[in-house]
Amino acid sequence: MKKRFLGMGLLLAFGAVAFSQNSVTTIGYWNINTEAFGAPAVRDLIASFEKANPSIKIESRAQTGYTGLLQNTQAAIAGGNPPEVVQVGYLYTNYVSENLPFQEIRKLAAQNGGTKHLETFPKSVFALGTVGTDLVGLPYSLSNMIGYVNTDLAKKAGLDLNKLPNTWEAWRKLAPEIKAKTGKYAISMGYNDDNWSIEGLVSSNGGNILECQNGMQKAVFDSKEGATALQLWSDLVKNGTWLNANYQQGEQAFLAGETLVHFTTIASRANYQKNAKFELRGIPYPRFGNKPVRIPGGGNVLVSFAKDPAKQTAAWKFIQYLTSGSGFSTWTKGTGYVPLLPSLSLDSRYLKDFIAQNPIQQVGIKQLGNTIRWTSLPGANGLAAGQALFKGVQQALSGQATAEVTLKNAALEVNRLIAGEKCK
Amino acid sequence: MPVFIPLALFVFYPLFRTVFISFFEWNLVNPKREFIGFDNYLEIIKTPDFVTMLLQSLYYMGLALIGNFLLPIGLALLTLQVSSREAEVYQTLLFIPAVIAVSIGTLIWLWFYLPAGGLFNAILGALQLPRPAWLNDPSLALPAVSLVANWKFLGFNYLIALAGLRAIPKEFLEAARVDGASGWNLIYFIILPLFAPSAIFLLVSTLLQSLEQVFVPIEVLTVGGPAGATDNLMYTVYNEGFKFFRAGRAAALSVLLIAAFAALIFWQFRLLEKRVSYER
Repeated sequence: MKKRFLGMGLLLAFGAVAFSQNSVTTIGYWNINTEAFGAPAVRDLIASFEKANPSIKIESRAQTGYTGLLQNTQAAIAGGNPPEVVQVGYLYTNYVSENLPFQEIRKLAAQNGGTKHLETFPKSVFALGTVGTDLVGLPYSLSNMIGYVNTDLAKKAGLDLNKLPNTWEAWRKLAPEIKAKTGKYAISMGYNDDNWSIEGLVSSNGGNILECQNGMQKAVFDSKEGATALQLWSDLVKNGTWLNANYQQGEQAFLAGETLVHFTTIASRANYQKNAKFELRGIPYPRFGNKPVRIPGGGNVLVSFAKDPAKQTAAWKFIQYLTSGSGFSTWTKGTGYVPLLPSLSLDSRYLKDFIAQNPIQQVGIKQLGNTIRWTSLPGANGLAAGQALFKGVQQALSGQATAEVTLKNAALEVNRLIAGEKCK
Repeated sequence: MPVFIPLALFVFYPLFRTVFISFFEWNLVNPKREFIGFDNYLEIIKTPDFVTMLLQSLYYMGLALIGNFLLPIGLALLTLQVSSREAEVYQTLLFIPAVIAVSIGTLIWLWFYLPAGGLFNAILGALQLPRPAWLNDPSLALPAVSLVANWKFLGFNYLIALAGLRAIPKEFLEAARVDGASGWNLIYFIILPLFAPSAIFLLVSTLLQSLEQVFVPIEVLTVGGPAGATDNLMYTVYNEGFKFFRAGRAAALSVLLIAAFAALIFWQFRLLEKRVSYER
């Protein structure tokens, strides 16, 4: 008799566990927020979301860079097990729209009673996630490139901290002097294979990555402006004053006190403020002569690839939470991303006081007027085209040929890969 | 029959499927595939980078031959000259990299190679020597990446070589010594011929695995850069398939790679059967 009761008890216990497990919807959140790039903020956001929504569990998976993240997402979709929410870099919204089975955000919101939430966004913000008539993803993160200055090195180099150079020409002139006085690199710039860094230089010098010619998309980064901008970078690498290093290496070197100024995303602000062992300052992105600064807006939209209705609902709830006033505030404080809803910067419940006390964050916000849309290379070969441009940049930086030659070759290859792609 | 089922399922089916996909243009996601015949093969051969990739693959194989074939055999021969206690110490030390996960080991090397703040450049800087950009200089990047794979797999190959050398019957060596053979003569005329079966196995497996073993170091250290300088055929298959999602082209490249390696394996069998002397 005892055994029978025990058996029934166990059965009930297992049943209860199974029921409770079934009632929890688990969704994947794939992002670029590694430990040094916002992971603590992601953890905070997930913890508070799960507390408010006990029936939803979020499994976060971080990896470096938008290109790799998109590639893994596509592989997961091909394997039939897509992540439910993914941070898609602005440069890949076209690619997702043309190649992947995403959930259109307006429809997803309407199905889950979230239309009102979308009304809190200015229309201009939606443009960041729109391709054609589809809102591919809900804009979430916005960044631009600023200069982080190691003021200890700047003082050692004899620079006036209140009059730090604001043009590339001035940095070029000062770089050898800085190296001679400090023994350290004058400049570094974190770059990945997503071409964000080269687009900032080319565009600020008056060039473009892509143009619409006779209704067709054409790569034009091999212009005189593009070549001059890349050649400046290449020349300084060659004379040993600019550290030729990728994103992680550049960051590591800067935090180790090896470079005076490091140009990278404002989204690294929290990490640098936490880890720099020197007094840190932020400066705007330099201009070329009197030309206006034009830097691509970095960041991402939240795209849902959820297939199952229950997971779609959970994905929407999570997206809605991340893009709420408190979600955005945690995000900006924990990373450095510029708030997408301007009202948050003026509201003391959210970010007003934080921004007032954080001059580096202000640099990113002030540059919003200089921020342009990050170029998305179109078509099924868009990823390969992006790699072709990146290869051209690397060839110039490693001194294999002049910037003019490498960009010319890269443009030929990109145009071959995107041939026939119409303007949108 | 019991052997045939897993072979068919896990070897022959994927093989035929790869050949089949190589005739299509497909991005792995789209339900529609376009049949394009031999276009993928022609595109690969016409690409100017193909020759570069081929040469770089041969470069990797050459470096693997030095680091994972000649060096382990040399170290194994040296080990035979020391006492068994000392040999145990050397075996343990040389095998340590083999038990470290390749990704972890590569991350350690990444720190060695860092252009600013890395171990190698810190040492060179302290000696007032130029500090090269190990992973960003196209002429240094490939050997630097290859070195990591060689370091990781040296210990394993060393043990195979040592086992092969120790399997040589002592009577043969003693008889040769009685006949006056010593030093290089002993190695060249007695040890190496008897060691040949193990050496051929080691040689072919080193060549076959050289491109695969360097995959993780490439992905972690350079992602194929700078400007494709550390790319090889196997890494390009991965890039085409899972980075550019050109499954047809990745499959075509795989078929070419399989054909090349199959020829190598065939050569190994022929050589073992005909040329190598061993006890039957």
